[in-house]
Amino acid sequence: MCMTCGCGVDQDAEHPADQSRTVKVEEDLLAANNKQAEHIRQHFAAKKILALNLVSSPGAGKTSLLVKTIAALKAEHSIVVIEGDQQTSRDADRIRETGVNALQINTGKGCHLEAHSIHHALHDLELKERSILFIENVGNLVCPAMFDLGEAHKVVILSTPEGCDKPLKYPHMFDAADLMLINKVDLLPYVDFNMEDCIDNAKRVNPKIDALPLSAKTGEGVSIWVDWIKRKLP
Amino acid sequence: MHELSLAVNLIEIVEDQAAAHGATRVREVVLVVGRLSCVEGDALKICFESVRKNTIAESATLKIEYSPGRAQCPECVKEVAIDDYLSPCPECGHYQLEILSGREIRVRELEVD
Repeated sequence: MCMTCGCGVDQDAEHPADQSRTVKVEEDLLAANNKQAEHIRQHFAAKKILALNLVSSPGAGKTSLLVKTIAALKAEHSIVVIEGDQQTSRDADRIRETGVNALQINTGKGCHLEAHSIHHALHDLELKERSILFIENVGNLVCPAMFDLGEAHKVVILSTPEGCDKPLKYPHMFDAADLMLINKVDLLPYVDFNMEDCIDNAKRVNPKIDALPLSAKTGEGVSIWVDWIKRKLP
Repeated sequence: MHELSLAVNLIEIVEDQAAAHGATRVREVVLVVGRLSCVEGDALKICFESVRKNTIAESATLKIEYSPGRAQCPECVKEVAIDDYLSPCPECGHYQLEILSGREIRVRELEVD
C-alpha cells in the first residue's frame, strides 16, 4: 500500500497524479432553515396571520407578559401560542389556563427553536385566518438570534434587574429584533437601571429598534404593547 | 451552543455537494464567516469534528475565512469596515451605523477527490 496516502498503489509503482479538485459551493449555511422559514412566512401571509417571535434571557418575564397580552387581545382576536423550552410543559400549561390553544415544543438539549420545529407544530395547530401566533422561544439571548422562524418580527424582552447594558453584551439579539420590551418597570425603585442608557445602548446596536417600557406584573405600559401588536396585524 | 446545529447543516451541504460532484473523499471545507455573525469559529470546528464521523468528510479539515463587516455611517455617509456592532464610525466617531453586510455564513468551496 502507498505510504503517502494509503491509496492502494504500490509505493514502487508510479504514483497517480493528485486527484484533488475544488468544487465551488457558495451556499448559505442557514439556507435550509431560511427556506423553510420563507415557506412558513408565505403561509402566514396567505392566511393574514401575524407571527411574533419572543426572545429573551431566562426569567425576563416572557410567559407572564404573554398571559397579560392574551387577556387584552383574546376577546377580539384568535390567538395561538407555541412554547419552546428545553424541558417541561409548564409554560404551555400557564398559557392554556387563559383559554387559548398552546403547543409545547421541548428542545431537549437544544438551545433554540428552528423553522422545521415550527413547521411541524403548525401541522398540529389549527390556525384560523387572521390569528395572532406568539412563538415563545427558548430563554437564551444568543442562539435564537440567527434562526428565522418565519415570524413577522422578533421581539426581545429585557427586564430591569438584568441591567441596561444587556444590548451591548448580547448585540446579535438586539440587532435581530424590531422591538425591545423593557419589562419589570415596577422594580425600577429597587434596581440599578437607567432607562435612557438602555434605549441608547440598544439603538447603538440597532438604530431601527423600537423600545417600550412596561410591567407584566402591574399592567403598566401593556396597552401600548397591545396597540403595537394591533398596528402590525396584516 | 447553536454551532452544533450549524455543523449538522454544514455536513448536510457537504454530503449533498460531494455526491452531486461524484467525489469519493472531501479533503477540505472552506467556510466564510462574517465578522458580525453570531458564530464562534473554534466551537464550530469542534462540532464539525464530531459530526464528520462516518461521512465522506471524515478526514476533512474545516478552514474558516472571516469576512469583514461593512456599514454605512448616517452622519458622514461613508461606507466603512467594522469588526463588531459597538464600534463607532472610524471616519467621524458617530454610533448607530447601518450594517450592510458581515452577518453571512457561507460554504465557499470544497476540496475533494
